Amino acid sequence: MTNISPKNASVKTLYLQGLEGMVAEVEASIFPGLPSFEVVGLGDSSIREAKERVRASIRSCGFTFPNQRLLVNISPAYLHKSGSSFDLAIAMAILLATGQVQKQVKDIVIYGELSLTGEVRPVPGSVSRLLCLETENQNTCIVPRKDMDEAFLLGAKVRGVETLMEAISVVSGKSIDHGEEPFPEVDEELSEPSIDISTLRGQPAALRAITLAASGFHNMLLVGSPGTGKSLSARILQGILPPLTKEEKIDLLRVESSLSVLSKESIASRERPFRYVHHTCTPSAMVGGGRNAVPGEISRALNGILFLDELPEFSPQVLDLLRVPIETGEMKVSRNNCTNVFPARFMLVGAMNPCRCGKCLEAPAECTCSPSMIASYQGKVSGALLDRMDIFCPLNHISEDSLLETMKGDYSPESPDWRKKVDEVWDRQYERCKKAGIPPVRNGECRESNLGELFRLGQKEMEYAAMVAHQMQLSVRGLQRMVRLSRTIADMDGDRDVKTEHIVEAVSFRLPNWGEKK
Amino acid sequence: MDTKLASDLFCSLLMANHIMSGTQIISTISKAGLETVESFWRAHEDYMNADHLSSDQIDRFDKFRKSEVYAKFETYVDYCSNHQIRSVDRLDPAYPGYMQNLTNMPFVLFYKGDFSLLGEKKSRVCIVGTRRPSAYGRRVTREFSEKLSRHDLVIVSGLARGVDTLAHEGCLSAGGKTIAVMPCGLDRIYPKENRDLFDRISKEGLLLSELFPGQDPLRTYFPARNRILSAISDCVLITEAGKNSGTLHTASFAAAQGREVFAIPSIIYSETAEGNLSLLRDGASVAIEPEDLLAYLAKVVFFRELEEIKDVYDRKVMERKIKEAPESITSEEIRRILIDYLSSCELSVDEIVRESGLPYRSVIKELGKMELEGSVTRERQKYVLTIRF
Repeated sequence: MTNISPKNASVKTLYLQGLEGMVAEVEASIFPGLPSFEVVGLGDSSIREAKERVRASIRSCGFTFPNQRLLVNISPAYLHKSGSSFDLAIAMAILLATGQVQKQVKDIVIYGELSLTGEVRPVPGSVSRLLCLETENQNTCIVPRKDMDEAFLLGAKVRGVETLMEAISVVSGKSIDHGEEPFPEVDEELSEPSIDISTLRGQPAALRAITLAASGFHNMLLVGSPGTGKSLSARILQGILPPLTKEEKIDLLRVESSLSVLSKESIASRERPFRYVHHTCTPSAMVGGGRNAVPGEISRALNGILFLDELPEFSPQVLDLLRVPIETGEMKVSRNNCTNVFPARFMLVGAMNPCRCGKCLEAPAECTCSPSMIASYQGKVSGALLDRMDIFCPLNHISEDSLLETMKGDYSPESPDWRKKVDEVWDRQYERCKKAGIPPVRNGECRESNLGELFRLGQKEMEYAAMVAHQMQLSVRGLQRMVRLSRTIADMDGDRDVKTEHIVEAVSFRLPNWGEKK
Repeated sequence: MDTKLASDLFCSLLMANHIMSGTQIISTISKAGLETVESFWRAHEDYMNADHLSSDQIDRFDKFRKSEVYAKFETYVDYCSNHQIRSVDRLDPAYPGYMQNLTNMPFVLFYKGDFSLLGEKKSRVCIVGTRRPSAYGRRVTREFSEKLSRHDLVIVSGLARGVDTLAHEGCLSAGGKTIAVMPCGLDRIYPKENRDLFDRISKEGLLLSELFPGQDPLRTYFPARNRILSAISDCVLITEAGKNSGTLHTASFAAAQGREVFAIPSIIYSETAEGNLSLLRDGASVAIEPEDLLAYLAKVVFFRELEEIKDVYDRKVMERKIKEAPESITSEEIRRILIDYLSSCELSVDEIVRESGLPYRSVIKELGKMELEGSVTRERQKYVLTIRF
């Protein structure tokens, strides 16, 4: 009767729930009986398919697959799980349970996808998983070799493996040698932007709007006729943003890695994301969603630019979904009995024509749109979203001279200098937040309600701002956004206190009654 | 002794005792070739005779000469200067120019406080109304006074009970400046319960009266006082006035003096506001929010400035200045340049910067101010002057 008692083994593994790395335990049990292989624990079809991959890779590595009743349980069993990252853990649990591998190390945390020949393949979600490891650091962690890049960035101690055999060697306490291979260092400097800010030399208003937007991380609306360089201007804006800090980079990689396996270049680059979203974008692609809740464009633009070209062409439903994340800086998506919170701190840059033919601003005489057409075109962007635009930036045609200028050999780009200036202005903003004892944020993202004290507006300036808001018929939000922009103007001037002249300039960037809307 | 005050006091007493009228004094002074009121006062004995006065006037002067004031004139002058009362007369360059052009303006004005509030560059709004306002009238008065004073406007009123008091209080609570025109000498307080307000205005604002110190309030004088209220203001706002209210005098003076009259509308059955409604029927402007007055005042200021520009502004000199020392250009000069450019056609900021050569920051700051004042507006991304001429 002794051989009736089951042979058991268990290993820990990591899986992805939204953006969170979670720990699960994979238990394998072998009983005598008719040969069968069952995986339980609320897995989806990718986990059910794991059975065949595991069987094939165990065999191709020269081990025997138990010809008995085999049960694998993934706990906690009450949570839904998905993905192919359980393959390696299931295979290891089976090999340990059959006694073909002897465990020479303490607890094991292991994940990865298996090929039929026993290779270990990377899976999405590496950064979230590795971040979760920090709480499990006493264990031996075995990860796909590719994830070593991310681990190096995060400073996590893991063992990268390329095959099931290598994983077995680690578990049996042997060393493996991959030789020296350079890990991707995070780039020190950003590369030169593809388009320089001096292109806007002939348009001081746009130049000022763009440098202000960058300096305070303000949402911006670019309005101009077709071909005036709206997307060009958005690119210029990206070009003067300072590089991502390490923390920001990790936050961004957490989002990106949950969607795909990261390349070495994307890990190394410190460039801020620039998400050029097409106007056919669906609600769940924009804010996150899908059956297993993956982050959307707004999260992928984390600490960077979300660029919506042809704003009125977007479905109103999609645009209005942006309102909450703009205010709160995060997006909650509920799926499968659990709520995922995706970060969504981004700079919204919208671009649009002033009317369908696009000429009603620059050449009103040539405009073929009727007033009602113009009103309906502009009305597609809801007032609530326009209210959240801090800077309204009119664009005129970029003159050919200034474009040619930037292509000459002796021309020196100005964007890198601007980038440094913006960086300094950001530091001033962080410093002020630190003094006030709140988490450091840029002016455009500040969610404090007590702006007067934090932003150093005197009684006189507050009253002035309130009066202006009343005159311009701004909402309370409009007033707050105007005050934030005034603060950025003052920061760029290096002034400690916001003065009325800063408020006056901020007013000129609020959306006026444009076109025929009045 | 303050000879300036003494001579003005003396003239004021001559007028009060019906010995000489203001016009008579002026003509006497100019005929005699005297230049100031002081010299007239020093030599007044020479003119109190049949060459200059009628027999009735001479009788009255003899009576005046026997009075206590005449005997103790020095003590009286000291008493006034101890009360910080000062004076200005029509022969003074300090006498406001906009009053010089009107008929029937006082020859002497006594004041206490900050005289600069009567300056030509300031905009003043007179807020007056009934002594017994309804809750609606009280609310409107306070709100308008507070909001208007935040726009650097001076609030003018008469320190009477009711609306006048509320107008002064609203202005002071918003940190603004206010002028009270009194119906009595400036050493008297009327009504008595406004003592605190009186003291505050004498420190933070300006008290005015054409009556000599010592004069008690005269009920018959009240309507005449109103002509000064409207004369020193750019426009008059009547928040609540009954059917036969004295406030309506102010409105008719204002109309005669070319000052815009604004009235707050109310329910047609309201008895306390019948005066307002009849003013509105007669063509007064409607004031529904403070911006209504601001828009009008912006126009007044704009035309005042336009007059100055025509005199002073020289485009060529300005262009040279922009080239050589753009930092030294004052905001007033920039405004002139902007008005000059915008008066011919509408322009975007970029175009203004390109055409004028001014730095972007200075242009946008001034345009922003002008937009808030209502003298320019943005249409199709271009700036347009709202006032065409």
